[in-house]
Amino acid sequence: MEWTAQRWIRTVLCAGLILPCALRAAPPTGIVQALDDVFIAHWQAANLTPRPPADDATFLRRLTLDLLGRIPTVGEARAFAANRAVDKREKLIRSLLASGEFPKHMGLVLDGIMQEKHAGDAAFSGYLAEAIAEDRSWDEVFRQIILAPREGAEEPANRFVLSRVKNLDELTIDTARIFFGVNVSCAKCHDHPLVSDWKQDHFYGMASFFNRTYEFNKEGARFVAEKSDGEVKFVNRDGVEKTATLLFLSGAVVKEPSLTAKAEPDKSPEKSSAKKDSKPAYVPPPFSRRELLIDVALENKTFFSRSLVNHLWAYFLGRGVVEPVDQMHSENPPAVRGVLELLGDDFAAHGYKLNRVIETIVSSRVYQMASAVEDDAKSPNVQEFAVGQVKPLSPRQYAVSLALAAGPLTENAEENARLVHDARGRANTFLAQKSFDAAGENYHTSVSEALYMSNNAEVQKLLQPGGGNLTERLTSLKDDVAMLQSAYWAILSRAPTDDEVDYLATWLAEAGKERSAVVRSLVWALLASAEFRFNH
Amino acid sequence: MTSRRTTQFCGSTEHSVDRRSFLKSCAATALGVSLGGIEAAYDPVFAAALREQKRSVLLLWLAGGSSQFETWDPKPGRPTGGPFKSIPTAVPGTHVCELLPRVSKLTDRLTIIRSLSTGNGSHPGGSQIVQTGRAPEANLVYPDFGTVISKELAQKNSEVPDFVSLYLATEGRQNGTPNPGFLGGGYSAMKLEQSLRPKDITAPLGLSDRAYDEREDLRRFLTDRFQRRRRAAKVQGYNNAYARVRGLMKSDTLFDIEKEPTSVRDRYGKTDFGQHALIGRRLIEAGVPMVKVSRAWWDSHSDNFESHRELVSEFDRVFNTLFLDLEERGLLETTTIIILSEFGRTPNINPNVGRDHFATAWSCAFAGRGVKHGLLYGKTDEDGRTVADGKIGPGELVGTIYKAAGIDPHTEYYVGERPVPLMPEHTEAVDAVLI
Repeated sequence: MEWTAQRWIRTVLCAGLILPCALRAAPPTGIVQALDDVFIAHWQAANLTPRPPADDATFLRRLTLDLLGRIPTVGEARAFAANRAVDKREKLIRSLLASGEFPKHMGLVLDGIMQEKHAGDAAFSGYLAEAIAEDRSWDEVFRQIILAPREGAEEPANRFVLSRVKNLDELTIDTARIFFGVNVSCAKCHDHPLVSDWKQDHFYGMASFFNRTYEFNKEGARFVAEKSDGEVKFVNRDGVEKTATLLFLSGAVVKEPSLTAKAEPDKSPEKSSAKKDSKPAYVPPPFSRRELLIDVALENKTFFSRSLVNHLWAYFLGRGVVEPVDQMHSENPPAVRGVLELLGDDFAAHGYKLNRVIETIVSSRVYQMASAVEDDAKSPNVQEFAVGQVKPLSPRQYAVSLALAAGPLTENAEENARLVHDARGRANTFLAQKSFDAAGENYHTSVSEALYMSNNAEVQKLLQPGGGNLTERLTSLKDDVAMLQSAYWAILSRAPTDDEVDYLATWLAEAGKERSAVVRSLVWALLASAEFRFNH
Repeated sequence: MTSRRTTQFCGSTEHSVDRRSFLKSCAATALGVSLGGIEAAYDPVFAAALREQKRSVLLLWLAGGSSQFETWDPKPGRPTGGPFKSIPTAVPGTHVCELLPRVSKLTDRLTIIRSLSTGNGSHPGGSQIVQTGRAPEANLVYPDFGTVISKELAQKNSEVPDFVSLYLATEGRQNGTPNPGFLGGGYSAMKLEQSLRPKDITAPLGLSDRAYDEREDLRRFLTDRFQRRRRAAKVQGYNNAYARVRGLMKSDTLFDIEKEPTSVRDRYGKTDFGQHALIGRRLIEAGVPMVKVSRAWWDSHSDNFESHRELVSEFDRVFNTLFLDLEERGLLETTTIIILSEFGRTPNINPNVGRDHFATAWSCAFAGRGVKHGLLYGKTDEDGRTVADGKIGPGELVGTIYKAAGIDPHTEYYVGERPVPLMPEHTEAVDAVLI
């Protein structure tokens, strides 16, 4: 198969450069170097030898999965392999960040991080995708998410609050966990026994920013509203009732603006929602306690900036610098000191641009490190980030990658986008069956996924030759080596090694006479192998 | 559990002083952060001691809330009693509702509990509290006891599923279906909900046995090769899941009651519940450690007595057959049977001749392994409005179930750094009902 590598490089890898790239800031080389230096110093101090960088094929696959949510197409993989430019990794990073697929995928990733069990609302992930596409400042995005709507209107940004608004504890705890990296739940009933940072006052202080927030129903639509009064009271362990003060995690006490005119008496929302006909119009409060929270959080910005950076780090590297990601406190030191300070401060200093953080992380030495160790060698400690991490694909990454790997091929670079688009459509069949195990810390390969991959009719359909798909193309290749080469590029995004070719050629010779059946078995084995199932 | 035992979370210093109250008050936590300890391949819970003896639990889930008055705790002649009489049973002094004539002859081998008080009378809330032993937390989803039992009693490399749940009706299924919670999807039950045939249990059409094995051997070879150079625990467990596929496919016939003699099928009766109970028996016999057979829908807000006449009579017949069948096969030695709903029904009979949701004073029953024979535990007042003696809350209930199944209810799982005991702190299993 003849690949016009230069054309691919030009067309595919730079396809996204048209508009968004023109707006993009210069590559953050200084911060990448500073980040690498932090790790080099750490490994030296810990007397660790970090693994070398991953090879090009592994890097391309890793980056494409992380940024676009899918494996590379054969065209992309071959073009990257053929590219001799010394700065091809930097160029690849920038072109993937500029592609139209990146914001959509990142929107889903951020939806998962923020919404957890409430994830899956297309309006919210779409909103986040838009914010990524426009490279909006995340202090502003954070403001919208916590504050929406300002005018009492339905807005997709309000989903974070809306999905938790009926449970003050959940809203308080999740806001602190997700945006500030702090789990104050234990401090609800008493001062935290181990973490001197967190007192009961912090829990109820944080709750006070949300206690006036409630769900308002108008003509069947739900939106987030806020009352103009109401305090949080709690009984401490000594049995004394206290009224909570507005207290941020930094210890900053927030004063409410003094009002000259007395606020209107509260129209109890529970009562008014009972009688649907004569609903009073929503009267916004003179000031919003949620807005006070945003202001104090952006003033004491290290919680916000370091937490977001740590969440992103955990997504790209498989575990947070501080782990668990919601346990950022003085008793739980980071795996490597200085990383979150460096990245968090850079994030804040450069206008809270998430794309800059992402570009910095994926450009770093630690992200690009090999996950493989020498055969049966002792692995460097994953917590020290001295070896590349292995992450299970999310159900969506797995489904899209399956559809792409087993699907048709194009030799025409202009058709690459359509190929990917079609594969995303076909992936919905697998996603709808919900048989792939969720990624994340409690990932555990289930027997039901193994049964699904082994026996399900939809999976078998992938393997039926037809329409120029992988098994059809492979069946037509009479030469074993050429066939294995094609299979490896399509599925594993790399060339097979010599010993893989030797082993598999023998396997093919023994496997049976019917070429099409043997090809199906080979393709299935590769698609269901751990190398394909994980991002490594 | 392999997770790091550092002191960074609700962990340690105060634990020595007042660990229990601390944990109890620790009302929510870092869900989904780190569950390093629950990968089966490294889980000491799969220790040899637990594997020595096969044990099973069979849960008969009477979804929607069966009435204690029309089953285990009749109050004939009282204003709350309804029209049915009570009948004497194999245990002198113990009476049950007249709708249970067959079961009444088994009470010398059952434990009847009349003193459940579980505090949540909504279908979702009641189902959750009764099956997890605790009220929900803001960001920690507990696994139900069925999932925990299946994990604890699972046999390594077993050729049968660890947990099969039959819930073919649609009413209440959302509440009755097993939820692995923080244990994660890897511990999901095999669910029979749309059909009695499990999903993906038969080989694809046109693939010979030989070809099937060949491609799996190749998959394993490729995975081993990849794995040898990577140490991540998540990768190490990958082949284990596939290793069980062949065995599980052999269990296909377990779901086929055509394999049973007609006489046996007739004994169970031709109703769905009867047939499902028969599948349950086949699964238990084959060594499935956790089986849940659900019968919906008991939610008798109107015409309570007519619906219970039908449902309880069917239950009487099916349970009697199931019990005797298990007994004849020697399976009661190893199987704990639990008969449970999400709550009971109100003493007051409403204007629609119905009974509503009631979680204050209600009943359940146990049989088989680990529980006393012929025991009547706890009692309600003369009208069945309150528990008069031996109150059992949701934590005690779940702890008792674990203990009957041979699982230490004080076992702790780790969610990140947080220890989560199977049975909530400050509760104890009810030893009086246990052997």
